[in-house]
Amino acid sequence: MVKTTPLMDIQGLSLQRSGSPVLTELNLCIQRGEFVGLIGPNGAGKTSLLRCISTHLQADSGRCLVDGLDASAALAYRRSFGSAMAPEDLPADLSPRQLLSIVAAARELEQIPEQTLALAESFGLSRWLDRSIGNCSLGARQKTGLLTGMLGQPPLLIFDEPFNGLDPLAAFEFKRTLGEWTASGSCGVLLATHGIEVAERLLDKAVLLLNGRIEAQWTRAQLTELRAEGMDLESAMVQRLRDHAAPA
Amino acid sequence: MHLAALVVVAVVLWRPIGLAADRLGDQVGAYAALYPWLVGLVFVALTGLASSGRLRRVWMSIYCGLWCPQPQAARHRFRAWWSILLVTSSCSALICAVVGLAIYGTYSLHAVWLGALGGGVGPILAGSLVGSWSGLAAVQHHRPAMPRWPDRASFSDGLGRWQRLRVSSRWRSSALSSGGLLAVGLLIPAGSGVRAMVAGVLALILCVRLIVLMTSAADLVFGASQLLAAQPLSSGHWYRAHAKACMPEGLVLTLLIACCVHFLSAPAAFVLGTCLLLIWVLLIDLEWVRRYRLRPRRRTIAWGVIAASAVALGAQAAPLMPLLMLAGLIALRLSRGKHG
Repeated sequence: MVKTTPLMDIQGLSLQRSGSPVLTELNLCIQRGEFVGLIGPNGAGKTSLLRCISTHLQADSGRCLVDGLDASAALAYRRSFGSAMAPEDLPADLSPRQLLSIVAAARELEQIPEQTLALAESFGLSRWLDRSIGNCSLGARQKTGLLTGMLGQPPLLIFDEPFNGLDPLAAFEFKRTLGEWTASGSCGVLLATHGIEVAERLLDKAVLLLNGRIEAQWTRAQLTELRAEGMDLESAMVQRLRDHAAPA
Repeated sequence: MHLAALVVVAVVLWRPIGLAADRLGDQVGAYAALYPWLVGLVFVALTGLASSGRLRRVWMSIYCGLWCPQPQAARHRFRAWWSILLVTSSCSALICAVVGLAIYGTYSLHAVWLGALGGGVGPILAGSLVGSWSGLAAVQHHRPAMPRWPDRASFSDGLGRWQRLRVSSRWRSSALSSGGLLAVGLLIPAGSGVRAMVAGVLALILCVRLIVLMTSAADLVFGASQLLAAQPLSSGHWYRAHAKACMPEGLVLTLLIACCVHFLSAPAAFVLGTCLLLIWVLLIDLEWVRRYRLRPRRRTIAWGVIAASAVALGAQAAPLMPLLMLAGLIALRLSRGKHG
């Protein structure tokens, strides 16, 4: 039996901020072609985990390997994933096209790939591409942020609440594209979201994060079993959270 | 382009404007002595005329086409209003200083402040321009929304273009450049020759431009470093891009400032010293932006220590130096462990 190297392998990751633990001894694997959803209440550590993976935050201990590389191989490591920029962080004085052009150059691409422009078209972003981001709607900024992560189709794609502000058509196209990319096995996706009902149908694995620890995981087969029992991911998650909150 | 246009206007038109102001000053001075209230009323009427109707549109075309920042949204109205008010008041002060010189032969600070505060053109124009969305639309009509950007650009080119965009925007909109113009109006050397006046004005404008260039470009690098933290960019990428964007203009500005200092009849050693000092400032800032790219507060502290030391030395307060250095070290130590 051939043992495959996971696309992303988080081993014993811990992070403290202002003396309080944010992530504690966290372990998580994502295989190539896998679509993993990170769910949990506010303050569970979802965003912090994504920021540790994308090197915005430095973990206190443990390590994260993407495509077999850890953050010490800085440039190669960063080439192995794409992280969507948050809409509120985008620079108001650039247009989406200019920002994408800078990100493309940073990724050593000669210009914005046709694939990215086609995605912009399918997201309904084309008419906003040459306006300043400061003049763009929240949806247009969210779409721009998503494209910065998807540009060049890196092996691992990381998104934090990607459905915020997206119109139904763009959300549909976004999910369809990610579904196609993961189905082809060209990349893996890690997505943090509160929109469980939106993500449930796409996920190969759902990971419930609580107080910086992985509280539960459901594989696709388990999710199918849940549905067969008349439950869904949302009710399973709520049950877990209530169990956790109940006094011992 | 913007700077070059200012220089050309200043050099070509200074002399004829000065002569015309002389003649006008004689006439106005004579009438003002005989009929002071009448001259005052005419001034108010002219001001009202200049800020209404078709003339206001002409002002807008000139002003919005050349200088003012493009308001992106309603929340930018106050910034646009403040910027227009400052720049028009500064111009008003400058004109009053020139007219005051022409009429009285001496530099009158009261006349300048009166001109700046009482010149109705600035407040009325600014108020009417940004008081409505049609005013904002007029500004947007005069300035293109986004500059051209090539399809293929390296990271250095892209960052350089972004820095130029940011520097131009700050140069137009910041209180620094507007305040600089006001300072120009107030600091014209009284009783000097025309050549020295032009050189002084230009030196001040160039210094303001250099400060805007250095601060805005560095701020952008600090902000973009956070934004692009997940991109595969090394420290060298940032350093080269920043140097490529800032050093050429910085060196040209340095040379121009040195020329202006020369025209102010400074000795050759002082001119050379100014030139070397500014080049040192450019190089040291380049190095600090590289070193403190992810901890921008340290650069601020480092410049603060140098500025304080320079002030202390200038005031011959050398005994304060150890104290200043100690304060700087403590500030640097305190900033460690925070984001800066």
